[in-house]
Amino acid sequence: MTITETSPSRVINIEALSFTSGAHLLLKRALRELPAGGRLGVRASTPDFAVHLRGWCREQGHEFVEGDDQFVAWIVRGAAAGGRWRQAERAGLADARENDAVRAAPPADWGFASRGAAIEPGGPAFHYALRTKDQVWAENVPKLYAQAAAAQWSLQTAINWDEPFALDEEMERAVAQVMTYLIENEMAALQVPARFIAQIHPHFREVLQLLAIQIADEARHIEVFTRRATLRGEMLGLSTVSGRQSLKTLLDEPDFAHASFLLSVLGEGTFLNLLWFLERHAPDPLTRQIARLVAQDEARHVAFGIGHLQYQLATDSALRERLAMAITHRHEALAETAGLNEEVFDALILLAAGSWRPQEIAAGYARVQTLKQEMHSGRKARLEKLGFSGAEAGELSALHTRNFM
Amino acid sequence: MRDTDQNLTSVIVVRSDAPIRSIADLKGKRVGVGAIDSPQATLLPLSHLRANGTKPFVDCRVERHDLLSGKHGDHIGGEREAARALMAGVVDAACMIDSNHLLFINEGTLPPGATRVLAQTAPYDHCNFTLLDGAPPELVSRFRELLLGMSYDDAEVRPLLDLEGLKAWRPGRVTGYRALDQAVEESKFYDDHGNITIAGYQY
Repeated sequence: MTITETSPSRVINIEALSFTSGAHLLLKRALRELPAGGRLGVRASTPDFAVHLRGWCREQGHEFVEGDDQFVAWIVRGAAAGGRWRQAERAGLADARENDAVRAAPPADWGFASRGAAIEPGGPAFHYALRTKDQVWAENVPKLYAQAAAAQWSLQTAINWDEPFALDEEMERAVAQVMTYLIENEMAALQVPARFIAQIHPHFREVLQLLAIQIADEARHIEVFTRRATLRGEMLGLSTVSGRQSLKTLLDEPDFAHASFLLSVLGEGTFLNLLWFLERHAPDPLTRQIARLVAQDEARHVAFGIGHLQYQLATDSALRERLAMAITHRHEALAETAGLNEEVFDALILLAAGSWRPQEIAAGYARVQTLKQEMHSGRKARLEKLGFSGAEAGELSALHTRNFM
Repeated sequence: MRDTDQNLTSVIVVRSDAPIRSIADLKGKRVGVGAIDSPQATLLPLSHLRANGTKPFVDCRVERHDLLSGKHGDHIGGEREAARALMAGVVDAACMIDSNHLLFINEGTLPPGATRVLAQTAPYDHCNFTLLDGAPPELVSRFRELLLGMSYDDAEVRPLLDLEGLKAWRPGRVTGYRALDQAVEESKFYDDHGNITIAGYQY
């Protein structure tokens, strides 16, 4: 193929390329170089080329001019060609770290367009409830996504299922009880972000990607806890009304900021302490290993929740008041429930004790008391990160559900 | 009228390996056409044969493919059926719009390289907005103004232009219909009073 410049016309030799093998690519490329009204002389050697060229020109809005001895035809570039892209706008930039890469309020008709693409104007509006950066973004979200993607672990290879250990039946049942409780909590942590995912404007893709991984994390956790609970032939344990009631208030929370706050900052934050406790005190190496892996994932979920609320609070300090109300409302909604999950607490004491000897039970009990204090001070520290005063943080932490999550 | 309704041509296509080199070679052969009332796939190609010395129905057989007749050619089905008949060996030639030859290859109806264009008509025009006598002139003028004012650069109207398959509206013209006028006369489609008299029209 050769193209020679004789402005304002050009000449192209398409050689033996036909319209059934991609000739239009070369023609489009040559026409891009010409202004509207510019002429392109076409040489081609395949039979029927002019027949197809005539139809193609009509469809593309170019004028077809009969050829002569030298040329199969001339194409006169039409004014409408390229019109689709004339007012195309760049939808931010792909890399969120660039200046102005992520728009504060991307238009509704950008829809699924990739961030950074040139967007043909028009099209249907996508009605996303969460459509501004303030509503969903966190400064650490691109980094958290990269970490989350890199830290995915496999149920099969990351855990040494064959590691030998011996637990008596009652101890094994206590493990199954704690796992049963963890599973229902993780199910809530899977469904709560899933509710919001389709409400978020795709322009904030890292948020969607991170939440998607978060959901996949929870799916894996549910599987690993189930497998541990039933490893030695145990049935799963007990599921209380109060536990389910407490978790339902999370699923029923319609506001993304409130749900992130209650689930990620307070719930998963508290959960982290529980997982660290299991990592330290569980009676078998497998449960300790599982708790360590799961805690790594949960720490990211907490980090996103805090990061996002910090971002939103920077422009909307009244949000802090609403978050405090959200805790209070939840507390009131759960006031009538049994709250403390006896089965879980008793199982935790037994696991931390490691035996039924009174002295060991006392030690286990003390450890669980310490866990509760750690949970409280952890929540308090996270609330302070969101700008609550020490006194406010202390009061609000105390109102958090006795069901941990 | 649409820019895409101006300067169409129809082609008469044969199988690449057929010993048919000219319109005269179609004598005694079977020519596949579209619907009875299709300008592009029936009336104009048959007129082209006649003008080049091969009389349809007399010198060659005509195999009609009557899909959605009554739409006056505003349907591609008949042409596609003719193209299929060509590859099936049921006809020796098939008539279609120039761009449909390429379309049929790209969509797989015609295998690439299996057919060649034997003849091509002169350019003609296809659809237009036709007015009844007595249409209110101010409305007609406003309608024309609105159509001609639509720009492909305008995101609001572009989907409508895409839907209708055009880049720009063009002022109407009658010069592109002389060949069709003649083809209709030759086929004795209407009598002097405009009644449809062609044999086999039942829509």
